[in-house]
Amino acid sequence: MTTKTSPQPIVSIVIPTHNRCAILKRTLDALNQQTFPAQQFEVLVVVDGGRDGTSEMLRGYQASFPLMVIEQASQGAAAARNRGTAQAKGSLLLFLDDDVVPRPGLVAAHVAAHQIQGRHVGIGPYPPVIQSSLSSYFHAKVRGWWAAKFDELQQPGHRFSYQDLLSGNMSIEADTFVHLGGFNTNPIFQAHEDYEIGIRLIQSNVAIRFVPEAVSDHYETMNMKRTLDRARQEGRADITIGQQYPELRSTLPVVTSFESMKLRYQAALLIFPFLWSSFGRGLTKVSVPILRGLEALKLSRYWDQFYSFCHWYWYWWGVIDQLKNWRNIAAFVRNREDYFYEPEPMVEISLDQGWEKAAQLLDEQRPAGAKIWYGHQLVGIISPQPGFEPLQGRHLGAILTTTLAVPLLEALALEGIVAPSNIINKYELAEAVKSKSRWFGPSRFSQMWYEQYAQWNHLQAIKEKQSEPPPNSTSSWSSPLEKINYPEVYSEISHEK
Amino acid sequence: MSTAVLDLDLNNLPLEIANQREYDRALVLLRLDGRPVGQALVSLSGGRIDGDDLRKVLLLNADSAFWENWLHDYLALPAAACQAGDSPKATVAVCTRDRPEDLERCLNALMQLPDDGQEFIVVDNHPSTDLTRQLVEKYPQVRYVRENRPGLNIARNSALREAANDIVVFTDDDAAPDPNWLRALLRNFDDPRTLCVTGLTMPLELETEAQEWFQRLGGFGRGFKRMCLDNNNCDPLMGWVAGAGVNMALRKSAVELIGPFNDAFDVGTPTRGGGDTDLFIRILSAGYRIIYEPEALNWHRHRRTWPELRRQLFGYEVAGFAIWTCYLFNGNWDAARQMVEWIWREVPTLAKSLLRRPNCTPLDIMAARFCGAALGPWAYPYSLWSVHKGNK
Repeated sequence: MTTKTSPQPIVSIVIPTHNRCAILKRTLDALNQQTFPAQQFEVLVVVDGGRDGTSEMLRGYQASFPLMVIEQASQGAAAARNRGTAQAKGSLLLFLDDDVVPRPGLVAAHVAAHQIQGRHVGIGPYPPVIQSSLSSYFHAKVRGWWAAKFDELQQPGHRFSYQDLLSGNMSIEADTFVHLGGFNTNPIFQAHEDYEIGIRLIQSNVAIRFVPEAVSDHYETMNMKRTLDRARQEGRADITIGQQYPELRSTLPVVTSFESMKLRYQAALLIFPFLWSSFGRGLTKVSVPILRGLEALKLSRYWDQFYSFCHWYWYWWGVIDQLKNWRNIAAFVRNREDYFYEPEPMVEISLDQGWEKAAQLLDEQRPAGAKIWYGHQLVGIISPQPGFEPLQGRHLGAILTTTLAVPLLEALALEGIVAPSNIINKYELAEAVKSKSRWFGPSRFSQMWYEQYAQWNHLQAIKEKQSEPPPNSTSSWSSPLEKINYPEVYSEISHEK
Repeated sequence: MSTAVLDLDLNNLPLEIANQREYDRALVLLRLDGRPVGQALVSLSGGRIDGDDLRKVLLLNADSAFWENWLHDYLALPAAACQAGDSPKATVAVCTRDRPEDLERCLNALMQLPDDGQEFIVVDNHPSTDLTRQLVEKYPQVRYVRENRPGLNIARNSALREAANDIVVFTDDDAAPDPNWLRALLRNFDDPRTLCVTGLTMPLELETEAQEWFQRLGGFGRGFKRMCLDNNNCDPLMGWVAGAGVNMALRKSAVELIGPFNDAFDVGTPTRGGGDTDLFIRILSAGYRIIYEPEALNWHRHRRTWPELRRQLFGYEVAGFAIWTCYLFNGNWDAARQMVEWIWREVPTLAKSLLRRPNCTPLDIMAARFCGAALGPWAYPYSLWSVHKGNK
């Protein structure tokens, strides 16, 4: 019907949907409003076994773009997306979730992002909109989590990992997607199927790019119970990921949370879900009412703590679904040494020629890790991280000004870059910078006052020392081999002497 | 001896600092190419430092924010948040009461701001004399608004009603802005979730011990690092972390979203303060953002005498506890937790003062703070009652 002599579509938009007729209609309406010409994209809606009249709505829908409806028995979002792409004609695939409503420039922004050379994935933001029907503390929290996630991705120096791959608003070249083999349709991936394709994308060197202009509005319909159930699905999926990609086990919450867990939690984990499963069943019944109660009293701190406990519990429930017993969990957590991550050789980079040169070098070599030098000073090591994209030039600025800021400043001081050595003793300067290292980084709660307070106390201490009779030795800085009279470290002063 | 307050640009240092004979130390605002980036506290022997020595002491005593900014400049990294579009237009509102001398300095400094089409209002709150109106008449750009009901928040609300522009920027009559102050505040409003932007306030002078102690105990500063606060990274009931009314810009539409300033709070009412904090709490609780922008700098003259300082810190605790009481009345039990935690936090500080440990806070100040905390819960219902009576 819509196959008039229209040109071959450039973009194929694939939307899997399951029982969300009303929101899906809003998404389609938004696609009618795109700035990108409607004849250059097609929309494939894959109805994944719904019963709410989605198919009827779609049949009667008046679209300005070619709209194709595919129906299948419920098999999950991954299978639905693959099914849609199998019939897609465009050279660019754009995956949208059925509750993600695109703003008018979205399709055009994704297309523009793919004009750049090289294979890559474009991820657009889809922050949840404030809906008056969802005004609970839980929903405010969810909005906060999403906002923080997209802010993080938007940082120009962000180093993407497979856990940043969000498939709700994602574009990829069709041949790359086919080459990868599509989404993993293993039914265990009711969640984190996007992580799984992310791993393969990073392994096959497909770049991940954040496209901030491709904005859409997320009409989130999650509630607490569903989010907790999803945590259980995530637990199951993560075990499968860890079994399939053993080198990534150390990045999974199963392992990180287990290792950081206090012994009593480990014991509780052992006892409750295994030996005393009635406790686990009881908890699942009372947790949501408890959270509601805490919310009614507005005890937000306790809500946060109890919610994260529940989330943790449900996640581990999923883990136990997969691994069945304690011995398997221990083996899963401990055996990852067998598959120790083998990094590619590190490159050595010198900042002497300016950091742009160094960044260029990183862009050419794309190593997993790097050793950074300034002159004769080793500034630091960026160790290879499994599951992360290779190092590139754009990461360098962010790393140098955050994790490596203090050692880099020390190196610059020692090389006489900060101030010439006739003005200031370079060792004294390097030590002064180092003594403030605990205050570096973003402002943490109350820290700004503590730093100021330490400055005042430091000055007070100097004054008191000056009022004492001066010692005989002169504090000249003639040779670095002399016993250096370092300025006192703030941390010592802020405590009692 | 007292502390000199200096404003120095590391890329354009003077040859020497002299004529500071009455000072034995200095609080130095450090700038790089005009941008305020950090501070250093240095000792001045004989009231002077010259040439290279100046650079040396500044570098040795500079804080972490200075070094982060220095590194950023050295690497010539692109500026982080550069707003693409035009900044919104602003109305600058000064709420005052019977302080014509301070107000004159404030207005003189406001007239130095580059003209981006901003509007100026002075809200004269329950004045006892006509001096403020006479002063304001000398400034043709400034509009005089009289508010007869006493209370800083009532004055702020009338500023919000009178303002012609979308952003209303508040400052106090005892503060004076830096020339770049307004522009730095306004460029942060690109995100619609941002309802409020606050800025850095430095002391105008540290002549007396009272002023030094106020600064030492935190002052109005919130550090030299930009913060983007929301209910995910900041407990709303600790809203005072976001800034202070002496340096804040508010989107006028916030009134529709979260309501106006609460008339029961702030100077001029029994609660003695907290009108700004109450608003920050409501912004954060509703899921919106507050940005703290240290480049938006203004200068504030702290209270000069010790009794004034004591009264001010007493008032802060009254206000803090009055706010928590207000939220407790509204069924927010988290406020009770905050009160308990406050006691838990402050009792060791009080003990330190009692034992006269080094670097402890003076005992009478701690006593005033505890008295404030004890009275705060009663101040809120009393204030509500006064507002109610005043409305009749």
